[in-house]
Amino acid sequence: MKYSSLVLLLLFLLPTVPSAVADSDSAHDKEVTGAVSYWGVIPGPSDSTSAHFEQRPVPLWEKTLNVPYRIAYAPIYLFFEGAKGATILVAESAELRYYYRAVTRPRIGPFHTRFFLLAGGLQGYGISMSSKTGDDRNRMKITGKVTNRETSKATFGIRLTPLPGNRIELGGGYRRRPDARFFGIGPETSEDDETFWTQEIGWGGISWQRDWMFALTSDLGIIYSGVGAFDPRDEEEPRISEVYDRGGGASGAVSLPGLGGRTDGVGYSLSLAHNTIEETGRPDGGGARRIAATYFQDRDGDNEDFWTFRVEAQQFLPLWLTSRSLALRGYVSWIEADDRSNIPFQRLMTNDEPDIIRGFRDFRWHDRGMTALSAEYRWPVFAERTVEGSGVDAYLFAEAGQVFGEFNEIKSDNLRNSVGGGFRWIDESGFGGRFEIARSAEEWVFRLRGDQIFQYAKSGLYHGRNPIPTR
Amino acid sequence: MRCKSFVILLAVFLVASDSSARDRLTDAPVVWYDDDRGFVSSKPAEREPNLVWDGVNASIKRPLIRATSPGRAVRRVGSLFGGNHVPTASNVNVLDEVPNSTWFTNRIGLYPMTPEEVARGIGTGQGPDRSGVWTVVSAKTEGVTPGFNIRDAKGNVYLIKFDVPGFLGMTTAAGVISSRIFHAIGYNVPEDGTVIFERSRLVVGESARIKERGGKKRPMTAGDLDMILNNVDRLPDGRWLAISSRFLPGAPIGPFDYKGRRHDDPNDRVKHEHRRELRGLRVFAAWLNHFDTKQHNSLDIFIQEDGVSFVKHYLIDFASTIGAGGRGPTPKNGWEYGFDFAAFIGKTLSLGLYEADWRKFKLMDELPEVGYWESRLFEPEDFESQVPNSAFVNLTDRDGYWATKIVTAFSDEHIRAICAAAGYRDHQAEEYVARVLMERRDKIARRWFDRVTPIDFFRIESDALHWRDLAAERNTFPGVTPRYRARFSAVTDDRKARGWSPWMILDETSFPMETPEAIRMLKSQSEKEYPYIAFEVDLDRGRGWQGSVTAYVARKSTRLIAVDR
Repeated sequence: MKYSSLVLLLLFLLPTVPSAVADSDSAHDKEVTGAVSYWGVIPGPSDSTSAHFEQRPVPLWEKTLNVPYRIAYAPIYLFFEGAKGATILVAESAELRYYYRAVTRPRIGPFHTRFFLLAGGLQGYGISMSSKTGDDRNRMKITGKVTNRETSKATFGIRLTPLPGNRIELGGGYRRRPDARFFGIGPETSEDDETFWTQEIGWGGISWQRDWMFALTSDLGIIYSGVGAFDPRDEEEPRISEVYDRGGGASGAVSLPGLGGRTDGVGYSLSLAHNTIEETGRPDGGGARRIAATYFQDRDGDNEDFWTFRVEAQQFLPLWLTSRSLALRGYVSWIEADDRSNIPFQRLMTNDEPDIIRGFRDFRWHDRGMTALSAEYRWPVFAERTVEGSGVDAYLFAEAGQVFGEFNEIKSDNLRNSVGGGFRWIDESGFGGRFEIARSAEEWVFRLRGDQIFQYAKSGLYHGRNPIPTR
Repeated sequence: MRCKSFVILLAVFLVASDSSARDRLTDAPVVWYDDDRGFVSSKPAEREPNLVWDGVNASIKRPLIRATSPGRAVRRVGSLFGGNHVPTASNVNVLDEVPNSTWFTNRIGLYPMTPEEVARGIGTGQGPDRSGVWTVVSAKTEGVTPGFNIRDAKGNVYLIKFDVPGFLGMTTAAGVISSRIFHAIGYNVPEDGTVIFERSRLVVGESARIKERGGKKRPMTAGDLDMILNNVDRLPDGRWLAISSRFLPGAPIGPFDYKGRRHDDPNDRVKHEHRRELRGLRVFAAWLNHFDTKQHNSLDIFIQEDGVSFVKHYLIDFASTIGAGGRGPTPKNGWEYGFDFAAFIGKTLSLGLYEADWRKFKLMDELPEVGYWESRLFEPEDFESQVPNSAFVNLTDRDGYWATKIVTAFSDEHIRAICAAAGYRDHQAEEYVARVLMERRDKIARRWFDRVTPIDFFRIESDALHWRDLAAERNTFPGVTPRYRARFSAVTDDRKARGWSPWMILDETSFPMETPEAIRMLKSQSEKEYPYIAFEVDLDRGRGWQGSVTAYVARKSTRLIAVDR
């Protein structure tokens, strides 16, 4: 063998590591005893096989880059430190935690109170709340709302179930909106004709709902209501009274029945509904059809008595994959009276809290009738835990609708369109709220709300829905 | 345009110079022990991180910092050209292994273990002593799953925790499986096991206290115990099934954060996000769908051993693994963060045309002990913990490969033995869970062994350099016959080669050294100037050479002194 071969052989014949026997203690592990590792025998801890492992130093270039970054980040750091303090304060204080949960989690506490923030639209920023107590058969609900633009609303409702399939609802409420608008009557009014007024509504009544076979439900009700139309807040210009008159008053002013006072009366209503929609907050199947008639009797005799009719249909169509659905809705409402010109303007059909043509501001349209079609495509974008559970759905919608004085005014030229999209929050108890942006030919509108657009099962006295205009 | 090119070039240069700045070769024994058991004179302060803030911090603040950090941005650009998006883990030795420490002890990754050893886990594996009654010493009614602590006849204290109502056996079995696996991997874990007991086994201790909702404590009564037991599911024979977790010896000082260090522990020198065993935990967590890896599921213990006090670091609570969940099985877990902003935006923009895989999952009615546990759609890299984990996001290819080496060390027999120890009442459930574990293991292996050349465990025996092809040994790519090539050169201590030998194509996992050419080359390369020999080995599985691994041997001492990959 050559000399160099010997060197090489020697080089490789020697073991790679000292041939100390591995003992279990030295391996810091009593389970793996005496075994030879895949690298060969690993010696026990000694000065040569142990070391302090230190953090690798940050390279100079990175240190240099970090200096301006840290300076720029300082305010954000302070913000997060504040957020940290606040979060820990809330989370670790039993009392604060209770209130935090009361605000953010649905239906906890003795009255199952829930709060929701409001924003956007004409009402401004505010907060709404609802409390309910009782069991599935007999329960009470109180709701409230107040905003920075002085919109306020308070309702109470009681639902009793004396017999299975029979429900008695009693309820009443008050609503004030100092930001109401009036642009004239009819589908062709101009946004330039905006005037301001204050709407004040009070109501109370009783209804009897009965379930029939085939998911049919009838609803018989008597509701007293009074609607006042007064001047707006001082800062709102022009006031409605500067442009309109109650009838033959100021020179040159257009006559507007109901203006400047209240209209009180009693509505007698009967409706029949067929509803196969499950109240999940995220329905993807089923439909609802409803016809309703209400006779309104004016209490003072100043204005006409009239009938209101409504035909409505909703359908949820499951689409592809999971929880994708198309929600469709259409309705026609109209008022019939002997003297149509003497119907108080504040009882006309209007989009007061728009559930149609959402791209227009509240109260944009007034007339004797109103019709709308709405299609909303929904898909899930966040799930808290499960497919069916709490989460957020996104949606896109397209709508067309109009008001009309006569049925022959329903035509494509008069239809107004609106498109938009948003997010719906669904929590353990169903629909939780929505944030949406809508666009019409006139403006952009965004809204943050805790109420539903579809699924009008919650339109009864118990839920505190105001009856003006008749829905 | 010029400016853009300059920035990219600068980034590439910086990252390349950073990542190539390996330690100089030295002829010294391999370090297998992190000397982090130095005497700590006073007990470090107990950490009690707020759970809510921890979620906010991990989900918003830290991702924001990572997204805006200029250093990370530069590294990210550099990673397009072969660099790493983060610095190399700080606690790896020259063989790219993790030395034993108070965090990690090499077990199945480096040593052969029998299926019985793996299935036994830590301790005796027997759970609380059954020679006498169990005295309930405290209880909690808060949380989804109530539980209590008992002291057995030998004086050992155990936490007794039940399954989520409606899912009997699911979390208990999952907890046992994961506990055994994490122990065999090398983490410090408590002694967990399933227990079945009857009411007569329990007595309420005189000083037992119960923690009510809201955190208030009061003396505990037998009625409280009955209330807890009545609120959980029982076995058909009326007994209770639960997981027992033995209290760890020493003084608990709270969880460890996955970012930063515990500054009052002088032994804690490496930032946790740069510890390989914590980065690699992401791979193990993906394997087991251990999504709940928030810091609260870890625990530091101030312990005394052989008269020396130091801090030892544990992983605890494995109920949320193997498709189970502490709040019941949840299909989303492991697939998305609790709130995954990127997924939210992606789903919104996709207009519902894209469906997340997890939304298709269904629980199997025929296997009620099994949660959302599947392998068909599992992709190792898609795994997400419930909140972003600072160590997980630092996972590099080398970290992933290291973890995969350990995952693939679990053979089918190991996995079957572990699942058999889990106490499934239905053998089909046991078989199903084991099969999915194997399939997920194989997917992890294919993922990382395809990205990092799985040539490892170099040894020099007789007249040849030997290595192991882990993919071939562990049958990661069935039906593929690999071939290898190797070459060598004398190198300086900063790895500069004198001149490489020609590649030699090989069918075996060894490189014969005693060739005339090798001898001639080495003779011409001075040992003083070139004190080390580099052996570069590459692998081809029929798709071209994958990328070489280099082993370094000191010419003087003949030691294997480093491995670069």
